[in-house]
Amino acid sequence: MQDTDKTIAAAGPQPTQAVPAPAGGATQMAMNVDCPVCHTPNPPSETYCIDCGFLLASQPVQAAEVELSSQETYGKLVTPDGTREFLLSPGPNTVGRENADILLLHNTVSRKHATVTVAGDRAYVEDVGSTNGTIVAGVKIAPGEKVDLTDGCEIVFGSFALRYEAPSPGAEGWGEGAEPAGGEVAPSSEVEGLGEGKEASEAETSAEKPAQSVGKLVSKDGVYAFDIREGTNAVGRRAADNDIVIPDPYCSGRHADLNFADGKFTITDVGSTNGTLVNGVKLDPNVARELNDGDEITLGRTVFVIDRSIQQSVSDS
Amino acid sequence: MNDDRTQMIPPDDPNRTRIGGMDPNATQVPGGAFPPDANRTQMAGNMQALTVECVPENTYALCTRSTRLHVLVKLIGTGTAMGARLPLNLCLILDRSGSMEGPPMDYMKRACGYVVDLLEPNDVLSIVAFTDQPEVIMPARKVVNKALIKQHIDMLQVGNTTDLYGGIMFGTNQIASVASPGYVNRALLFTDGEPTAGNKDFASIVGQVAEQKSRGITITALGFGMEYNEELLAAIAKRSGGNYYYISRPELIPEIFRKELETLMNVVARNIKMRVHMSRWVQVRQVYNKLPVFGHRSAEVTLADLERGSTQTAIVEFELGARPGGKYRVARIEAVYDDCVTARTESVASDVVIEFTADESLIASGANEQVRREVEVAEASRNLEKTVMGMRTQQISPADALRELEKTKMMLIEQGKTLQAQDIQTAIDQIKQGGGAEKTLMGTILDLDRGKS
Repeated sequence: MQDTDKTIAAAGPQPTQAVPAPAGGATQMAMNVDCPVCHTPNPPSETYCIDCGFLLASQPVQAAEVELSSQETYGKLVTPDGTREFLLSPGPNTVGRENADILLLHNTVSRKHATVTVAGDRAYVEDVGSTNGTIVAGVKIAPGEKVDLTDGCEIVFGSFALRYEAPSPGAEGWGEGAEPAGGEVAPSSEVEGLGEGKEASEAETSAEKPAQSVGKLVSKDGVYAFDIREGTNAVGRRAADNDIVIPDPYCSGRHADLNFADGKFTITDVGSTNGTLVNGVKLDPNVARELNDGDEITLGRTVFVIDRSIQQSVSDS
Repeated sequence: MNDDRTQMIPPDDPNRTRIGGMDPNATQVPGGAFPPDANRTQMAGNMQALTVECVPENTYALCTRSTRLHVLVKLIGTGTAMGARLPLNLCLILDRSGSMEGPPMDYMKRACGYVVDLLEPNDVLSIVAFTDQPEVIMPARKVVNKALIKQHIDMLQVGNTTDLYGGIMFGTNQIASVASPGYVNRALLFTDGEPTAGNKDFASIVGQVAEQKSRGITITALGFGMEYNEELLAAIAKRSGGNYYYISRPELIPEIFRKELETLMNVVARNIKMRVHMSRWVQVRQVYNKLPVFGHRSAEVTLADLERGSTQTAIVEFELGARPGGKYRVARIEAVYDDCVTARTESVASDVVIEFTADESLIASGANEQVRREVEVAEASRNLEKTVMGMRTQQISPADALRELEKTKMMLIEQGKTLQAQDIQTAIDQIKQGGGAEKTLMGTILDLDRGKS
């Protein structure tokens, strides 16, 4: 994947649970300095983070509405070798050789070649009268035709090929696994202040769910306690896609499914970047694991246990 | 000659270039996205031929959503402390087709004589001539007996057709026969016509030139008269990193040869590659008028050779993702080049540091007008290209072409690009006299693309 040079372990004993303060004296220490933004360990000689470029002697400022998730919510077009990414925005994205949103400087690409439109959870491509045409999944599209894009499908503009990556849950997203955290992370509703249509529908679906809590997912440091409901609870960092939103930058956008049925809790990793661990053992993706009382669940860098004490009281009421 | 420029820079000045050879920070981080030494221009050695300076369009960027940002990269040929130059390994590739008969042939011979006079005993010269076929007039050798070399030149006779491709092959082979990193390799290709013999295919000729460039051989293209293919010659110069000249009258031939040779003797950095190393959440959208090769978080372009005291610019357009506010190095821009003094491959680098903020008033305060103007100039080059293509294909009328050119000229004057503005005036005059201006404009486009000054 594109972040082969990253050295992030899910639950490694990194010296960073406390707020890192790499100012001044840090350069004299022979210890790695964790970047306060992306948490990449940096050799003490570095002035800027080797991964995200953040000035290590400073502290990030969390703006009120950083639309971080905008980058991964709408999908992207990626070159076959993975070296270039073109992030899609909601609405039409122009493709062409001149002044385009997706600028492809290639002599087989017309100045105005095509449009990729993101509408809701659908993305489609239209050729806008290019000379050399547009091919989606091997089929040349007719002028004016709108062709839906599926995750992983190839689009060839002239002879410039790109792969469409849908904003699918659990997919390796932009900045996945090391999302900027800015120390104390703002409440998820603020961080994810976008995607009106989508968010609204998400809100509806979650409102339809039974509000009954069958237990709590509690972080061992006591900072977080999330209600668990009957059935499947989607767990991850991205507010729009999850029932339980964990503001840990090492947690994937879609990380795991936590299930409660027939009085039993199970957890399934859905292909997260840094994995899901139960009692320190990494789970195979997409394989459900039953949780016993007191099991420690590691999601990103946060360790949780399930508090079952309320289970009884909830069912009584 | 102002050769002590580099010594005038106090070595301790943190904002300037510094010697990086003994830098304690220069430890390569395994897996790091950046080459060693985080923050400034550096080079391993005591002198440097090149400095890199990055000027962002704005020192602030919005942190709340992704934004686009232009960065002007200036490569400055600072000159050498010693004033010495590497010897040249030069080949004159000369067109002796039938159309060269008369004054053109005479002036060309005279021009070659000047070249011989300007060379020193350490320089290597070879001469190749082409007509129906190419031939080696003089194989590569040191310029010791100048009188003898001139005799060879005087014996040149006009022939018939033009095997340009063969000439390039023979000439570059002569240069390659003296395979030594201690020389500045250059071929001067002089022609007055379209290729009419041998391989005449535009793409394979330019492909061959690119191949030679990768072997470290640069070709300067000199087009004479009205018959040569300016698109081909400009493409050769562009792909090769060499220069392009349009010579309108035979009596100008010696002057242009002399000018090119002086340029060549002042080359301080060649085979220059500009590498953009990107941080996370950063993409390169484009490098104006160049075609970058993309790698893992990197983009690389090849630049033209650089002379002492001259500057060459490139404009990189970045797409910067949203992130928590603060100062970030969004990219590190590195130039790797062959130093013509030390005869070694050296590298210099500079950081692009941007402060991300949600405060729009800061963004308004941080704008850099100079970069904005340079972007306009780079765009002017594209407009010129369109005008030239339109003129060639007769899709735009001379009146429309004149209007476009006047507009571009005014813009260039405003931006202080007087030399290029003069070129355009020349082109305007040519069109008004009923002639073609494409040959002149091709040179202007190349100059603007390179941002040379």
